[in-house]
Amino acid sequence: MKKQFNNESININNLEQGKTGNADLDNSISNVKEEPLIFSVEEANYIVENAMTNEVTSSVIKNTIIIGGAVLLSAVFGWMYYEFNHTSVGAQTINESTKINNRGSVNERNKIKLSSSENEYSDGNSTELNPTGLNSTENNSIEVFSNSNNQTSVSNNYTKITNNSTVASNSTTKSKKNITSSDKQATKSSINDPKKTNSNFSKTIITQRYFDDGSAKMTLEYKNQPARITINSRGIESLFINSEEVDPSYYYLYEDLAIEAFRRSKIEPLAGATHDANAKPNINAMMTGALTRRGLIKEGEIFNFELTPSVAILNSISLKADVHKDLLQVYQSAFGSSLPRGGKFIIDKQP
Amino acid sequence: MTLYNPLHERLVRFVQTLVWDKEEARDIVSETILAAYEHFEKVKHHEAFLYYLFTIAKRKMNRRYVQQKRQSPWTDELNDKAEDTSPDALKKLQIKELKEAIAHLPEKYREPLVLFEFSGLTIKEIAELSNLTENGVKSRLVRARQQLSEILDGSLHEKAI
Repeated sequence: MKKQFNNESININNLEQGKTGNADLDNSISNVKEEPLIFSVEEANYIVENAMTNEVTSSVIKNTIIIGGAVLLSAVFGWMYYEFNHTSVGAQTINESTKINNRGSVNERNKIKLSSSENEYSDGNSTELNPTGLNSTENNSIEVFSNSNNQTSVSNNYTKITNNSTVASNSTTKSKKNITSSDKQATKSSINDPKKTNSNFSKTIITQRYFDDGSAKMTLEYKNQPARITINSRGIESLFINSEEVDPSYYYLYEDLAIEAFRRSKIEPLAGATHDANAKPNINAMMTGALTRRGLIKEGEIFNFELTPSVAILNSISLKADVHKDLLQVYQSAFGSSLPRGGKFIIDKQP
Repeated sequence: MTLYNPLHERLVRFVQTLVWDKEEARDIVSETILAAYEHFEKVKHHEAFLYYLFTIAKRKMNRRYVQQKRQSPWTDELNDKAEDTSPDALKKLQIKELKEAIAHLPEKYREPLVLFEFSGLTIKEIAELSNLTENGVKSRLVRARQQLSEILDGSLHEKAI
């Protein structure tokens, strides 16, 4: 059943759609053309309508931010003016509640309570404070400088504050995660199967964008609510459900959403789908996971691994160029920057 | 949407013929529509909307292709992703074979062919979109058809052996 291509029918000046001169090919083309459309006009209209709504909302938010910013700025200047003129040498207590996140934008992620007194500082010296005596971690501690000035001396008050509320919520997360370990197992398998769909989602992604830093942002409908999620290889950068930002300690509640986002964006979740991307990365664990997923090592295997810009060596065996390139990409995604020339990344798990 | 609606089917056919994964294709269509809406002021003439829309779709597909190349290994192979919706098994096979053959065409032939045969664009429109002469498009179409037939013949021949 060999197909015959009728060359006589080819006339460069008289090309007709669906008439190639090969009956079988024509038949196949018409079959493809008869396929139902994967995207309806109604869906297209929905996207545009939604984009219009978002535009209006964002312009309102912008205006609010501008006005809010102006008010805040004038309050800060007023406070500074007051401080400059009225600072007394006696005991002074400052109580503030500040909302800061790693990127410097205002949100509810970290609540820092600052309390300092002038008794605790001396000129030019810095004092480290840990009001409750709990251990601080790098991610949760924030350094705050407070300058006080009077006619006789200039003092610097250097205070280190620990965010205890975050520590507490982390432990809560841990216990809840244990409860849902069986669920996690189920979702883990769905990561590896991109064809599995979740009924919590509408099929329509309203937006999906990729950025040069390897992150992806998408808006989709989750349990009939608009969800906006930004992810990168290290986990979730930010998550908004119904325009409200979700605290990273509750990301685990949205595991299915995160998995869906990773699945659709084809980004590899190096540290797990619901990991806080802004937390300090554990590159060793990420690389170990990546090596396991690629079948280069078995889970729990003892191995040694060395990665340089020119070679990747696993258990004293040099890996192929494409695998090396891929692992360099993993390193870059995990670390946030590429392995520098002359740099070396080593995992040595030999006993 | 007055400008978009008549072009909807052409756009979707273009994307769904070139991108096998249904979800992937849907993402590209939705991104294209959104990008077209966001930068609509760039369209100076209504006639230019078709080129504007298809250029965005082409870029989105190219970008996604590059992205996929450097992304994770848990992305399925293209073969596993082929998804067709027609109920008839023979039809399904024909569609799969044709799409495979199209994927094997060189890029310079693949795009004009899909635009012409599946999206229904005229040779003049394809020439404008691809920055080619009309004769250039015609010769590419002829070669694309020839190569497509050869690929399909080859696959059938292999099966017969």
